[in-house]
Amino acid sequence: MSLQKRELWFSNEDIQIDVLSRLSAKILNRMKCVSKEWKCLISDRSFVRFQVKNTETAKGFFFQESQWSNTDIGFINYIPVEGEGEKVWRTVFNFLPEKVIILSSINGLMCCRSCFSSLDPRIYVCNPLNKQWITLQWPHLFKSSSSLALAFDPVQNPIDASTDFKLVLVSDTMTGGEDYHLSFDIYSTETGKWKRSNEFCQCKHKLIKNKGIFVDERLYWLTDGYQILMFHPQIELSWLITAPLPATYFRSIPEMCIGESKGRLCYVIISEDGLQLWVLEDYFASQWALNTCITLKELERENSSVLSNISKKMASSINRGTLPHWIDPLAFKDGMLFVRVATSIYLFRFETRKMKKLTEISMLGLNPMDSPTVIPYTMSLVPLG
Amino acid sequence: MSSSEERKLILKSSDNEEFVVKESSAVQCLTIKNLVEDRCVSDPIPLANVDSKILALVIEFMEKHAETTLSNSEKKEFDVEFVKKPFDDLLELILAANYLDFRELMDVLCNTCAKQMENWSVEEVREKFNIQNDYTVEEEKAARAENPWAFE
Repeated sequence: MSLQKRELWFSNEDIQIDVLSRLSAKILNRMKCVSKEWKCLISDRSFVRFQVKNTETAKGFFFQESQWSNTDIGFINYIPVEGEGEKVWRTVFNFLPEKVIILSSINGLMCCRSCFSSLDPRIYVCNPLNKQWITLQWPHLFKSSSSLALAFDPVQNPIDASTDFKLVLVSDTMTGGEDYHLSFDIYSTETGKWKRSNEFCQCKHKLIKNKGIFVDERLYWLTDGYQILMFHPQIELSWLITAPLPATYFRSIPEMCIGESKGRLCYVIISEDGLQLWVLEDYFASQWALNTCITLKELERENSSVLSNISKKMASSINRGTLPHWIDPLAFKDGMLFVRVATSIYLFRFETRKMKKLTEISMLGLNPMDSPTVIPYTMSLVPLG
Repeated sequence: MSSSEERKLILKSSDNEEFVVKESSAVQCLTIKNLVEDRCVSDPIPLANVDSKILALVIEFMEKHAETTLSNSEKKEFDVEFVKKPFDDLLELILAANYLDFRELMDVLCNTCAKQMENWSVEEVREKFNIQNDYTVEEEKAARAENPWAFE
C-alpha cells in the first residue's frame, strides 16, 4: 500500500474507530500496547461509548470466601475462563486503597465495600481493567444480612458525558411481631444520594448465593426458598418469582444458581434428575422454559475423567444432611457454569457439555466451601471518575 | 423495464479507467446516491481516491449485493469468499468503501479486519498496519504489566 494511502488511513480516525470498536474489551486492552495513539483512542470516553456492547461474554470469575472475621478479609481470586493451566490471580484489586469485599458486577464495573469494622467504611465502584474507581456514600443502614447490587447499562444509558448507574441495597426489616419484609434503598449517580424506596417485599426467605444479577433493567436475587426476588430500580417494582420446579418435586435437596445468558435470566439446577437449565420467559407469571436437560449419566459419559459414579456420590452426599453437597453450581453466565465438584472447581459449558478443571478449591481461601461469593466478570473499558 | 432502459452510470478510477455500472447498484454508495439525487452527475463520475484495481472489486461487491434474486445466505457466502484477500487489499478496500460511503461493504470489511486482529500479537498488529511504536522500552514494559490477569 502506497505511503499516501497509509496516510489517508491514519488521518481518518473514523475508519480506525469503525474497525477497533468491533473488538472485545479484552482484545482492545491488549491493543493499548500497540502505540500511545491507540492507547489514547481506546481509552477515550466517546470511543468506549461507541464500542461497549451488552453482548460481550464473561472472560472469568471472581471468587472470594465469605468474611469469617470482622477484621480480616479473604483474597479476591480471579479465575480466567480460558487460562492455560490452573492459574488464579490475586492482585486484581490491589489498586484500591484498602482490602475490599466484592459485591456485584455488571458490564465491566465492580461494586465492593470496606470491612464493616473499618473506621471509615466506603462503597467502591471500580473498573479493574483500567484501574479507575470512585467512592460513594455509605448507605445509612448497611447490615451484614443486606445485599448491595449494581445496576448499569451503558447501551441504555450512554456513557459519553458520564458513567451513570444505580445501586440497590436490599435489607430485611422487622415489621413487628414475627413478620419481616425486604426494603430497598436506591443510590443514583444522577442525584449522588441514597433514598429509601416506598416499595417493599414480603419475603420470608434469605437471599443466598447469586445476589443482584442484572438483566435487562432488573436485578435478581436467589433465595433459599425456591423463589427469586426481582427488583426494577427505575420503576421501583419488586416481585417474587417462583422457581421452575417446586420444593416438593425433589426427593433430595438440589443445588441451584442463577445467572444471565443472551439477555435472559437463567436458573441452573443440579439434582438426582441431572443438570437443568431454565430460562425466564415471563417474570409476572413465573413462566420458565426448559432450555437444556442433561441426566447425570450423560454428564458422566461426557466427562468420565472428572465425574465417576456421580449418581452414587450425589445420593450419599445428600444423605449426609448438613455437609456441603458433592456438586454445587456457584455461578452461571453466557452458557458457562462455574461449579464445584468435591474439592475442585470446574467450568462446565452447556454447548459442549464438557467440564474443564479450573483450580482446586483449597487455592481460593482458608474457608472457601462456606457460602463464597462468586461473580462472573465481563470486561469493559468503561471509564469512571 | 428491459435492461436497455436501466439507467447506467460511468465511474472513472483515479488512473482513468472507466467502468459502466447500473445506477440501481451504484446508489448503494451514498456518495454516488447524493450526486444522483442532487442531479450533479457528471459523465463520467471521477473517483479521485479509488484506483482501477480496487474499484473493480467494489463494483463486483456492489453488483452482487444489488441482485434481488440472491438470498441473504448466498450473499453471505459471496462475502466470505470476497474477503479472502491480502490484508493490504482489505485496507485499500476499506478506504474506498469509506470514501464512497458504502455501508454494507464497510461492515463486511471492518468485521473481517477485526476478526483477523483478534489473533494477532501486538507486534503483528504494528507490522500489518505499519504503525510506529512510540513507546519507550520502559513504557512498553509498564503497559504490558498493567493487568496481566486480563491477558489470559
